[in-house]
Amino acid sequence: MTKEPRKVLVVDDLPDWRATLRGLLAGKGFEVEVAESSDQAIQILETGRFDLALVDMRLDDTDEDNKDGLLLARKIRIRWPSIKIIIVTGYGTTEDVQYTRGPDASGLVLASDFVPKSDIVQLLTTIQRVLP
Amino acid sequence: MCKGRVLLVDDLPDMRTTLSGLLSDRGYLVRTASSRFEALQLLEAERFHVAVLDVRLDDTDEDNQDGITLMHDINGIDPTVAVIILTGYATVGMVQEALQPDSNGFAPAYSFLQKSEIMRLPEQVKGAFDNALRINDALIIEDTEKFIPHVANKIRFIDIAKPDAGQVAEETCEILQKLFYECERIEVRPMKRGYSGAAVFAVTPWYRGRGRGEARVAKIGEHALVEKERHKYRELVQGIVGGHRLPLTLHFARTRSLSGILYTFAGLGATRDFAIFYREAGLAQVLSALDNLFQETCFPWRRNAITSHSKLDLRETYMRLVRLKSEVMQSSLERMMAGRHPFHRDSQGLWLGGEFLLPDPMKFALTADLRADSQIAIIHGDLYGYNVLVDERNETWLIDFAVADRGPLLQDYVSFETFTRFMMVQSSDWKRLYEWDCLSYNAPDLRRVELPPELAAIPEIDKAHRAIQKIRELALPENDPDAARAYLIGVLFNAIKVVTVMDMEPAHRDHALITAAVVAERLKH
Repeated sequence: MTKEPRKVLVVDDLPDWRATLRGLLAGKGFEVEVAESSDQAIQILETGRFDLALVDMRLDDTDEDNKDGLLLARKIRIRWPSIKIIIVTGYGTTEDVQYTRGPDASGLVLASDFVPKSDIVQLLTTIQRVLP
Repeated sequence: MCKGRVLLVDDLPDMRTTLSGLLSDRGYLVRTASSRFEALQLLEAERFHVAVLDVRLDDTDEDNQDGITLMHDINGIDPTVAVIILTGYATVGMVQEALQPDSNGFAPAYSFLQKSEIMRLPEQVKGAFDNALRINDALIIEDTEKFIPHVANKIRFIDIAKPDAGQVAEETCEILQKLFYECERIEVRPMKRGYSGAAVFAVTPWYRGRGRGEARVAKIGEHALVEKERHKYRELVQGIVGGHRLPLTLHFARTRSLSGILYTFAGLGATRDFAIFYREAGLAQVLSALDNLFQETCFPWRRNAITSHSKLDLRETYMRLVRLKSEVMQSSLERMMAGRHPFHRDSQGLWLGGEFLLPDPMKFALTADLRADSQIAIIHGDLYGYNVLVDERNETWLIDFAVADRGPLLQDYVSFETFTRFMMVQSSDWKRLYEWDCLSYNAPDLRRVELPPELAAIPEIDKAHRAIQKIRELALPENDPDAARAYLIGVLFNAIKVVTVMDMEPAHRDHALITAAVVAERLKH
């Protein structure tokens, strides 16, 4: 019996990172979709069942304070509670992500884990842990 | 040992960290830059083996292709760097186009890799080392006398500024790692450096699984010099070396500032240059090797499209051939005159020890009528003891073809005579040397010069004299005053050249000055 491939949505505004993450995951047998914005991500999630969303915290790299990724994670958590979420943190945002690990003001735990882009190779290990 | 230096250029900081992490995990030394400008600054200060370049170096600008521009910059700065281009998904077609080889077959990059395949980057970099750079980083270089750093430091740079000593030594080792790609171990021995400014090594290689190989000669010098030799070799040398003692194959390798030639000879056992051979061997062996050198190894000279020129301006010809400039001739002489015994110069000419008056050889060489009927052929152009190897059968082999070209047929004999006269005689007894030179150059027939008993009693002079007479017998036809005059003019300029070489032993330069003056005196009449 062959296992259904796991489906992953990668959300990142930078094309190079979308390509990198897609390659990294496709190489390990995942079925990968990519989105460059929150809106596009929601549209794609509505089209089918996903196991995992990899969400870049900063979805507008021209804005240093952008944390659209966290808002998106929250939306996904509420609408599709079975989708595991891993936050991908970029340059200079690693401290900001600490609070995604605990529950937020409304008691919601946004993400299963986070992975810094600067060590993206460990993503595969993290996924193994998050997806049973 | 360091596995290699990689320059990584990407504008995305996390991408830089990820990629440099992937590569430094494999032992590469990685430097990163975020822009073309930063990369160029690094390239100015450091040397790299591989450059990994993102095409789009400004992710906010979809049309940015700074990575491609940088690739061309790198090809210009150091064409030995293997470039790997990284692309996002949209640029593959454009990159493939940019990587097409030019009309000379030079490919501007080793490969390209899509960002979606970045996990393959370490394997691509390894591929660049194995296939493009071909650096044998496991090679054991046995250099018991610590000869490499010493000699590398003396490599002369004309075309480019001299890199620091550490870098030259490192690049020298890297050239050896490239030239001996198939070997597991090499043993490096000194060979006397010539005036070309290159380092010359006798190398014994051991091949993986096949044991010891035949001796090789590796010459390492500034890229421009070695490139010239490579060109001359292709164009001329196959036609001028006889007796099947042509270097069979030449391998070339280069780094950023150096290039190396590996002379591979079939059948050459022990490698020693003629200078070492001359000191060790008896007179009969030396004469036999000279016969072999000019009758067999260099014999094709004689058959190689000789043209006769009447009243050829030999001053112009020789000054070009031995690279002499009038200012340098004058200043060298002035330096030698600076209160040094036995020389003294006044309006009458050059005095030796206050008793013998001779013409100022520099003035004579620059002003006298030095036209002579001459024969021109392809010659080695730099034939002297350090460029001739002698095997155990006393057979001779040639190296160093950087100045091979058409030139005066007699030059190779003349330069071998002056090499023997100055370099193979250690005496600094100027009266004896002057006496010997007068006999040698004032004789009516240059082919027949006998030493008086008091000079013949000095073994090194006797040996050199007999070797020189052998060279003259081989060089000069019987009763040919034109050839004798052309030969003497050749000696004049070759001796002056030795006077001007700063790192020559002072006693040899003194002797060369005496010889030049004696020959000038003879040519005057």
